[in-house]
Amino acid sequence: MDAPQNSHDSTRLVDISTVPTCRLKVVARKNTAWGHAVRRHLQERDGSARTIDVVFDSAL
Amino acid sequence: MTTTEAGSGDAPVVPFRQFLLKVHSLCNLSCDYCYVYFAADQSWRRRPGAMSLDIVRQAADRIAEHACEHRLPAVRVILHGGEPLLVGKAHLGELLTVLAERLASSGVEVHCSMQSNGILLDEEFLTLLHRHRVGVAVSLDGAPAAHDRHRRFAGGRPSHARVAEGLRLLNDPRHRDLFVGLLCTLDLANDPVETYEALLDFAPPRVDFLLPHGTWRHPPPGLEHRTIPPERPPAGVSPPDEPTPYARWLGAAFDRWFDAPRMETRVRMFEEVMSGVLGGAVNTEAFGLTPVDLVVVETDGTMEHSDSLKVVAPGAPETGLDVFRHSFTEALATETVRRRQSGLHGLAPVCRDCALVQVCGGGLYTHRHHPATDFQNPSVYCHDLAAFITHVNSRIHTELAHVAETPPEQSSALP
Repeated sequence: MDAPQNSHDSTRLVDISTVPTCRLKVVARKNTAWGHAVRRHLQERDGSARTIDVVFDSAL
Repeated sequence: MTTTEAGSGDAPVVPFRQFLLKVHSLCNLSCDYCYVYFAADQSWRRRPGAMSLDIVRQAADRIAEHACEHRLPAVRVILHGGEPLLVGKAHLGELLTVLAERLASSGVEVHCSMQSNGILLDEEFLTLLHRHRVGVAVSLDGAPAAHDRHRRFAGGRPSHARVAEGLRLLNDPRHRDLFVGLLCTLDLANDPVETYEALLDFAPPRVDFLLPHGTWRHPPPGLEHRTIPPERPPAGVSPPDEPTPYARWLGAAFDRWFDAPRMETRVRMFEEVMSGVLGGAVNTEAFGLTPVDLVVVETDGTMEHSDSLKVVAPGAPETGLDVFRHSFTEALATETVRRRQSGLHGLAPVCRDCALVQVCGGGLYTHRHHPATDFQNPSVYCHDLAAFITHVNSRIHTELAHVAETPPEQSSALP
């Protein structure tokens, strides 16, 4: 029942809101690319993420 | 923070928060893909070599004015070129002192960084940059053969060994905190995984991959057939006869990065695409719909739009404004900035109808240009962007399915 809604249509983006937050928090603790992405998602969702400038393409 | 004082149209005006100062218009390398010297716009030929202190003062005052006017708590100043270190140590020291003094009086917090080719980095420069807390990002295209394919001195000598020397110094514990990351321009002739791993050799805190600049009139290498913008959005998978070599390259590098058992470095493009796929913010100029908030000040004090526009046509980045006669708020009212701050509304109809538009955002503004329809087109990389985003989406879908299917007691036992 928790399966994310994707994707008989490959252009349809995933829906992370269908996955329970407690499970996402476990992933967010991992020091991996996926863990970082989930952590950022949770931070943005609860409003604790710092606003970042749009980064210019020719500079880091 | 948005305002509505400047400009026209429905979209709120977003103040500039990033000010890119072209402190030197020349370079000690002659990279054959460089948009400054080898593209349609040749304005570097008529500009002073270095930005004078008068112009630095005036630019700093304009930044302070803009920050006060729009009540900005912080701004970002990026020293750029050409090669910014060519200004020399004495001038760089004076320039940074002027910037600090002028901006301190405005009370705005300033984050300063530099984009360099790394050739001139030495102990003295790094000490100076440390004193002024200037972060350093370096352009590196991968292993020696990959990097030296394009990034050479004017006489043809390769540059990788010199850049590596500079990077080793930057990585010294005394200077490591200045190291912002590596900027890598993608070349299809270079292996993506080898390229990524060659960047990792320098332990960069962050990496970004740049697509070579191109337009529908001058498509990028490997996509020379793409001269007519698509009339319909890409259907998730590209047409069978449409090659997407850049998506394949990026997908391979993404998989290598994504599958690492621990995070080896941040990769800006990949992180922003993942965030977009998950429905979050996309904070990069090349993807997403976030309004542009960067303005360029050239060595002669003229204000310009993003300098990648130099590949479009002579004068394409020009605003007609300069820091002596105009405020940055006036630059916010230019048609280009208004269009680049209008999100979905500023895109071509074919982009507005695309399921991936929140992530792709039409691609880099420069890459959308066609002589007949101006910027009202998808990116010349449209099929590649769609294929890459679809790949990332698929990887995330698999991961999410795994998370959803793993019983809580098992998932909470994970490290």
